[in-house]
Amino acid sequence: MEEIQKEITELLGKIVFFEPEFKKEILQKMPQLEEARLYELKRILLEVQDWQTNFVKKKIAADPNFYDMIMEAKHKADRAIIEVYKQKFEDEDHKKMEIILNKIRSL
Amino acid sequence: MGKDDKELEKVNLDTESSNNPEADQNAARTERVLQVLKEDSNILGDYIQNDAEAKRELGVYQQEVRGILEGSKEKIDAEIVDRAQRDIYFADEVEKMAKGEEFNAPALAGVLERRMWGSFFNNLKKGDTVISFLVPGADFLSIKNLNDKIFGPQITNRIIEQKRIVLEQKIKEVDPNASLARSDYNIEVIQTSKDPAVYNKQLEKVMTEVDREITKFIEVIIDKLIEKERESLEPFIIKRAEHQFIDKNAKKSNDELIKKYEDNINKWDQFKQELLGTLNGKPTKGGFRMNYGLAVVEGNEAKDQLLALNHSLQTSRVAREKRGEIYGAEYSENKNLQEVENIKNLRDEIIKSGNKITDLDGNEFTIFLPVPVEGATNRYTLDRDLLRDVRKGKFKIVDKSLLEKVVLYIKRLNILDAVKPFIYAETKTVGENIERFHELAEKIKNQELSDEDRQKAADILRSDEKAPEYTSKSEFHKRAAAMEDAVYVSMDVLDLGVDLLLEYESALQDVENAPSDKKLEKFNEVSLVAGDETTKKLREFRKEVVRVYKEEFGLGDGLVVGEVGGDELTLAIDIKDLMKGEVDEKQKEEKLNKLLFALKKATNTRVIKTVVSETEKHVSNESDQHGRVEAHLKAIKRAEAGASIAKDLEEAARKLTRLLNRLGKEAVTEKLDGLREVFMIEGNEVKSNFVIMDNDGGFKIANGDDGEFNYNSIKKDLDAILGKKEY
Repeated sequence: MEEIQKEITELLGKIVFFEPEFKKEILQKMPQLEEARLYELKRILLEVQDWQTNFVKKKIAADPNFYDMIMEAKHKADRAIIEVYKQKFEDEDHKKMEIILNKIRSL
Repeated sequence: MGKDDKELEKVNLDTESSNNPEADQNAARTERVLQVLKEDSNILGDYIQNDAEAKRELGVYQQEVRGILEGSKEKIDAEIVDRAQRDIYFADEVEKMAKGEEFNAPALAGVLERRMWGSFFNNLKKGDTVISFLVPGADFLSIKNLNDKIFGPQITNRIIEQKRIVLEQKIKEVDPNASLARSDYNIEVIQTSKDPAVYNKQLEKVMTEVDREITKFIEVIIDKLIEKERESLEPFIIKRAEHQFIDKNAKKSNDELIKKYEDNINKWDQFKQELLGTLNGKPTKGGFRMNYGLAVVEGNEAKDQLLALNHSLQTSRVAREKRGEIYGAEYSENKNLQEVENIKNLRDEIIKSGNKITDLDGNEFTIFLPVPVEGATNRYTLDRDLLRDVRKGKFKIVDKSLLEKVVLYIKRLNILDAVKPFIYAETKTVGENIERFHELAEKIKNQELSDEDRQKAADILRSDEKAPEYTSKSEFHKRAAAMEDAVYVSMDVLDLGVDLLLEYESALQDVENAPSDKKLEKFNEVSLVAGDETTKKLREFRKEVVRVYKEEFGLGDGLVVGEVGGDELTLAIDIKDLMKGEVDEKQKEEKLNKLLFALKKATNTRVIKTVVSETEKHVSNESDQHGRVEAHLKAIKRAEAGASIAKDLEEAARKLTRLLNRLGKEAVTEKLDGLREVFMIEGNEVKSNFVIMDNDGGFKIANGDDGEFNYNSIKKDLDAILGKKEY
């Protein structure tokens, strides 16, 4: 039973089109399921995994902009994170400078 | 695109060598996108929400998962829930239109145009060609078998959809201007302005390709199902082999699971063999052999359009019953008349061979009963009880050769099987209505609706096509699912299929008895009105239900909330409306009892018999829409299960009547046992008067004399009478 629960958890990690709350609900209720239902659940999640791969494949083939849109969105998200950290470092550097300047002024 | 992504693509391309660089690139990109979405699914944003098809498919999977998590024994297929939700969405769009809000114009206009076969009648002109395609007649390929036993609704819908797509695609390769006038599982109708000679040899080739593609499509589905089932089965087989059980119960559960999986595998394997024509090692034709019939429209009137449709259908039916090498043909007057002659000859052959058939219980039936008609030559009618049992595959006999002839005779009667949702006498009115629907549809598309138009269109779309006093299917789901406390009443008209076939049989004998030079004219005349008498009976039934609902019980306000099927009708009644506000449990039971028996009495006439069953639904006002829809569908499903029990009881009454006539009253009294309160002997008949009611998850049978008893308490006796064991 533990083995199959582990497999289901891994599958859920790969399924990107389920909402996080829904995945959480599955993980919470999974321990109460009997063995046959666990196998049934695994079977459906494998189907969902197949479905999502086919969906993305079809989208990429049909829409030339889809792939670029996703990559652009990823880079934008990465840049946003980098900016947040940059700003954070700048703010910290600025604070340190203020402390030093205050000390100099006090001398 | 960043440098890393290009590098990753290159790596993937290097590791997966193939002759198709574009496919390799797509595969690599797919993996990359999935990896990105795994890290941050928010990137996808509203992409899925805006893709209706993807949203729907994903929704179906989510419902399946929910069904497993909730562990409900009463499972409603996710596809059915999904369909009901789409119906409710449609009904909501009608409401938006009525209120003057923005709405889904193409969806509403499309439904209006197709109403009453509108798109067919509007576009057909003199000289156009109509081609009808019939789904294979083999019982194992019937939609009931695929839906209920083999695949379930989700996969069955995929097959129906694929059949339509492939057929349309192949036809358009021959004639790009052909259009699909009508499509459901059993029949597709294509119309085209092309000369039928263009299609001559090409249609056989088209049908061969469709046969091959759909057979392959189904075969692949079966192989995948079997493969997945074997994967699911494997751990339990291993457990059994390694004796990994805590106790006997655990072993028993494991064995039961193994049996469940193996039964499924065997079922699909057998189905596949039947499909491929390799069952039992005796090769047969196999395949998904659709038949076709082609006819030309001879004039511009509705009668000409209907005749062309009838001719194309008749031709395809004759091709289906022939089971020859060819898939179909062009309509031929001579072939139709020859078929009428064939039906007569088959009847004469059966009569000459003795005209008797005996079932395994020892009941002897006269197959064809003479019908005394003034001034006519001999006319006959099939024994009703025999016809009923043979139709349902319930007639058991040792020597099957005679039974096969009777089966063939019955199938051939379907040459007159009509598809129009109105009676012939109404053709002119229907034509005017179709014009009206078309005009409103155009106004919707062009956004030219006045306030009056909006209400007219909404009223039309909210009402059922066949029975406008009732809600349409989408409106039914919307209103019924919204009821917190509701009673569902399922009513079935018995023997409608039997009545229809007897009507066809009588009509065909009218043709047989016509003078030779008038036979064709008579055939066309009967084919235009075929089925009308049965339609009138159905309308009478529905009218009586409305009368009881509105006049006797003062229910509803406007449309009757009901789902109108062929011979079934399901009502949803708000309990507050039934009780006029106050709900005392005892009074509610009494009122319900009165309503059910009133419905039964009103609709059980000399010409129609019905069965009535009821279930209840209670949902909290905090339930989400998905929960409400599921509760609603479960209540319908249970009401239908109740109707099924009622039909079993009716069948038992018929069997007891036969026993009564064969062996006398004592033999019947002996068999009645726990069923004495349900059945009574009146003259040479065993009769019954009961309704089936909800009983906290089970069912009880209420007879007309205030007697009630649990279904489970009589099930064993009932099964015994129904021939589940011989007596």
